[in-house]
Amino acid sequence: MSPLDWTIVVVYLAGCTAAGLWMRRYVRNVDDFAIAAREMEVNLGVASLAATEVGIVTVMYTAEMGFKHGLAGATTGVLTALAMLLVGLTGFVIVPLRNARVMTIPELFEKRFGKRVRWLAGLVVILGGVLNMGVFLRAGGDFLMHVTGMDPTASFTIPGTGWQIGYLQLVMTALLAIVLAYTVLGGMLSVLITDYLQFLVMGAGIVVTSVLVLRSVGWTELPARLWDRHQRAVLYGPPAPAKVQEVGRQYEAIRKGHGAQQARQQWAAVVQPLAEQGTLVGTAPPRPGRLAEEPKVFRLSHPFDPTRNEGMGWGYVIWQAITALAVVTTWQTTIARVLAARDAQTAKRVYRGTWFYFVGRWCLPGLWGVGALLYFAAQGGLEPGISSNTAMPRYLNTVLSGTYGFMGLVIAAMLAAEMSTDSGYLLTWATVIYNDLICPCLRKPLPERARLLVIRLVVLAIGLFLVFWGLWYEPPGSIWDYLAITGNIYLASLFAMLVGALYWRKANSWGAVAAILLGAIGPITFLMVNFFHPEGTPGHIPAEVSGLSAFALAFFGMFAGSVLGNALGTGRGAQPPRTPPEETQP
Amino acid sequence: MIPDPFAWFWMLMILASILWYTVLLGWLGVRGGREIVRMTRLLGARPREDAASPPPPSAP
Repeated sequence: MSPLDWTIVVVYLAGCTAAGLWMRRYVRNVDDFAIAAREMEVNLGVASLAATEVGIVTVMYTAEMGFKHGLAGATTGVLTALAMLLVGLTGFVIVPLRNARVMTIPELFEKRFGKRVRWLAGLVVILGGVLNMGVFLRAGGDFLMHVTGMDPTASFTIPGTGWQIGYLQLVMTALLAIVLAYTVLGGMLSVLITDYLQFLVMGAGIVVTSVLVLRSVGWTELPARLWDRHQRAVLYGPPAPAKVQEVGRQYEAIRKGHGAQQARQQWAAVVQPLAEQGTLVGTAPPRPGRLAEEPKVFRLSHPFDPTRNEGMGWGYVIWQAITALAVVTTWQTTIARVLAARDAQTAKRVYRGTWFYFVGRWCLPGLWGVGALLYFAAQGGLEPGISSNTAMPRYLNTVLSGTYGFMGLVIAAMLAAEMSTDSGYLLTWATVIYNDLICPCLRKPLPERARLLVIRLVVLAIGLFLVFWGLWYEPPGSIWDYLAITGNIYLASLFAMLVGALYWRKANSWGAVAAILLGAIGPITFLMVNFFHPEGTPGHIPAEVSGLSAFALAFFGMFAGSVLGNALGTGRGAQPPRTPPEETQP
Repeated sequence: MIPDPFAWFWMLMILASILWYTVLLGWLGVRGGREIVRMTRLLGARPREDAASPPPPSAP
């Protein structure tokens, strides 16, 4: 990196931290801290929502989808954008939710189903949400190390102690410490201001990188080159297992340094012909305390049509469409902007202003992943130690090297993406823990200062948890599948409960509890079964089967439980909240 | 020659996204900045809780 690159990164970090810390002077109570005193307006809401929903992890998994599935990998982005537009036009869920004047979704459930359901729903939200956030730091660290060309396994020893610390862990812990400082002190007010700055830096970085990638790939040739990769994969078929195992053996020799030069030559002798036949082989360094992974084979299926892509298909598309609708109406970090909006109309306008942003959120990093695929295919295969999730940052390293200042801008942009997501998520989950798990257990409300202190301590506790969980846990399967499944633990349950609570008069606490229990069975079964049956082995459950079954079971639970509760006359259920007439007009 | 109608769709989405992000950057950069100023003024103008409470009785 040049001095200009470093200057850009340092100025960004200093400016963002100063702005975040400055906002703490306006925080007087929990409402200021958690929902910015409900003073957020449309444009700030759009910037904040857009910044929060794009983190490095987002860029990593969307690029990984592009690398594995071509442009069809961005299908989820189009589906999410359509769901966002639909909700922004109709006000589905968000209008009655905002008018209920609650701070979190589980708080609404107390109004309909009672305190116990609120507590249980809060627990599910935290379980799904914090586990989901668990991969953020690792993915972010991987990106930064590869894009700067640093060795992700590099470490140093603290003199006198013998403690070995990885640079990846150190950088990500320092980044999280900055985020924690301004989020703990300024809450949502700091998050809104820093999100705004981060949106500007991140947006500029994304646009510049996309233009550079298009220039590097050749935008008029991009579809034809992708089609050629697909045709080669179809023509030559999958590689012989012995060749893939040979790649793994040579990678181990390169990694351990036993005859590394000879191993590199033998590596190239196997990998290059495979690349010409439409197959890339990925290898990854082992994580601390884990065995090296088997090499992974990447062959491009239909790169444009998701329904004809072998790794996707109709089941996947339907699952993603339902998940998209559930995410935009249920995901607490998104809903936090609805609840912080001045009124329901502002919330709808934020959705209408953000919808197309979600197309770019998938298409542009997806384009970077496609660029990586075409680059490494042309280079004769992936480098040793590079796989589907790290191919894109490694590729960007080559695209950005020698572009004076652009490397700094892109790193600042990705730091911005990571920080805005971390701060938004930390605050949201802390608000749920405080509001829905701690408050219902208190016999009398805490004084205002004690409430603020407790919620700040919760933010800090989640941050510490993330450092240990996020930097040491290695998710099974692709990052996106992991995020979708852990998110589904709560998305399916909460979506069924929210729709029932807001739109079905007969919904009651029996249905709510049944929706939570049945909605969690699908994702938890997936995690357990696939732990013993990895991808490509018999008995492996596809992500879409698990996801779709979670939604089906949750809605069945809400329906059957409520009917049973009503029949027995024991289910608790108040009427759905009425929408004030002045807030329903278009 | 683009081999599939879906390819046109994706290329259009990519170019539209780049354009949309550029427009949004300018628009939100100006409008969002103004809203921040307005919000901080509103928050700063709120009476402090101790100032809002009734004044202590004056000494005789």
